Amino acid sequence: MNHDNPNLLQLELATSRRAEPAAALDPETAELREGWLVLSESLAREQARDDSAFAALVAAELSVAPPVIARSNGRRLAVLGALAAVAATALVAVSHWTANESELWDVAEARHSQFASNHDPVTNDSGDSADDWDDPLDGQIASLEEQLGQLAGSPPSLDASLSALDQQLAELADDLDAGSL
Amino acid sequence: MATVSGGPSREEFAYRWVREHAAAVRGYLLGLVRRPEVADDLAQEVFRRAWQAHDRYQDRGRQRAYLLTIADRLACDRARRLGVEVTVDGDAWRTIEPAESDRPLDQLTERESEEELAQALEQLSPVQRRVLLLRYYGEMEFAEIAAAIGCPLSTALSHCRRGLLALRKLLAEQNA
Repeated sequence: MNHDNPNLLQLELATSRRAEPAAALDPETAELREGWLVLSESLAREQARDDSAFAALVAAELSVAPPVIARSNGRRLAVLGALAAVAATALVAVSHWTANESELWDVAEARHSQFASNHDPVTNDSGDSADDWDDPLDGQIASLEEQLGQLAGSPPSLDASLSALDQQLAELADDLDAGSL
Repeated sequence: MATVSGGPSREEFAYRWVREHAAAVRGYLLGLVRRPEVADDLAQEVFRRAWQAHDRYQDRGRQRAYLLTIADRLACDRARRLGVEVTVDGDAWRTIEPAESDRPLDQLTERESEEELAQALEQLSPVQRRVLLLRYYGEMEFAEIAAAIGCPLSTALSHCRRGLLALRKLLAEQNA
């Protein structure tokens, strides 16, 4: 209680629950006190309600109510549980997706291996010979190999070409001189 | 909240505790909201919240001031919501409404009291009402009141003074 503040002291006296003797109050405080009595007497008359039924009802509820710490912990736990559930769901989804992807790779790899083994004359156990291989690319490859062989087998002679060219040029010169062109 | 063996049961303890402060809390809320069913709903919520934190504040004393501070916050929240009211259990509350007296004279007295109080409270602004009702029901220091309503001490004192002068004016008018 800070009695260094005269305003505070005056209002504490004016609104005191104790019955302050009017003579002990200065006129201004007494006036404030009259205002306080108007309110406090009205409230006292209004306050005549019986609170026992209210207390019984509330007490019955409170006696079974969990303490706030438990409730807040419960909420926290619920939130954590929900987060854990979401995380678990995400993990399951990711692992499921990864498993599917690896399964796809396995399938592709298996198919590739099967394809390769089916068409590999060395590892082919089916009894098919390499002659049974019927791939249209083989024809093209064979044709190219033949052309390459021809090129490699009969390389053009530069001297012969030059001689042929000289001969053609000489013939053209003769024609020019003869005026036949 | 530990119950000592042989001591009151949890419900008995709660009953005594509520009974000790119910008049102040309900009265304060009724003074603010002026509707008994709303005041009782809010009072129930006040006790529920305070009970849940009972272990933390019971040793600090000033329980009533603590309860009234919660009540003030709840009443202010309700005022902000304006029109959104939640009735906890309408039937249950109807059963605890004070029965009207069979005697016409008592009814007249009750009505006159209500009218007097309503007239007195009408003289006050909402914040003046809060200051004076906290002072009356909680016997709170003005510093505590200022903290509860969230204003400087000087402002709380100013609201108190103006409220008292308004009530004094009402008295003068009635006498005239």
